Amino acid sequence: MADRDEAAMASGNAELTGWLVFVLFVAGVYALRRTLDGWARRR
Amino acid sequence: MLDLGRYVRISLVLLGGTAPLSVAIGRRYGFTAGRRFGMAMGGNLLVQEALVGLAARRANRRTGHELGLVDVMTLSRGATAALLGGLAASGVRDRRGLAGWMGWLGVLYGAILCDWLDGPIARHTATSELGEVLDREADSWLTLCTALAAVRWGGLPRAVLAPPLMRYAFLLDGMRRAPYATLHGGEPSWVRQQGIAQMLLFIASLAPFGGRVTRRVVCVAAPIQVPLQLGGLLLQRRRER
Repeated sequence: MADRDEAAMASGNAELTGWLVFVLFVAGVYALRRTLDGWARRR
Repeated sequence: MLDLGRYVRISLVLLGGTAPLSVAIGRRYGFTAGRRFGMAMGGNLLVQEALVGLAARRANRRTGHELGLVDVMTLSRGATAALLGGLAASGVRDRRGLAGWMGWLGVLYGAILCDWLDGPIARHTATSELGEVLDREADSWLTLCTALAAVRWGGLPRAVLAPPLMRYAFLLDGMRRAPYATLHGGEPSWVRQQGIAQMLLFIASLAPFGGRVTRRVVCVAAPIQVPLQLGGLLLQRRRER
């Protein structure tokens, strides 16, 4: 029972970490896009 | 005159990527899976490159357009679609393993990194009619291949294939009545938002780390997103007519 709880928690943590990294990736690409947009407008 | 040598080199680099990926799939999942993957990805890429080559030659004759950095980014998006098609054809259903990670990272590259950055880069380096066509068609092809992947190993119902397939049906029907260039003018902003929601659903279903919560969200979202998108496509078609 305890083993199963631990496995479920580890899987939940991996899931949360995965989505956090995904959100950071999307935010980074979005910031880069905004920067490139400004660069294109200034040109 | 289109720099054919340059185009062939770009195509060969993209095609060359098939070999190491086939070897990796073959080593992990067996020779048959690797062979199927290589043939499907390579075939998909060959057809894409031939069609783009024809379109580029025609555009070059009319406007003198040469393929630039943005076009190469768009072509690499096509390669991502071919990768997903290859994985789907390989018969491997391993969302949490090597195949799942390859497909998921490919979707992030094609649908987020390239799709979001090629617009501002194109505006900086000057847009072209061919570039717009390539961008739109790479987007549609990647969406269809990602939907196929999401059905194969993401656990989504086959109904998610309907919107990307319907887009092609409408396009072919529309091209019987009017030139391609006139079919895509003035899309409302919700079309893009629906496209983002669709891709997010695919990304969630294919996420190699997706657990119980992700599966539950995907199961709830899919039956809502698909009819909404089909309705949106029908509405857009009525407006265009």
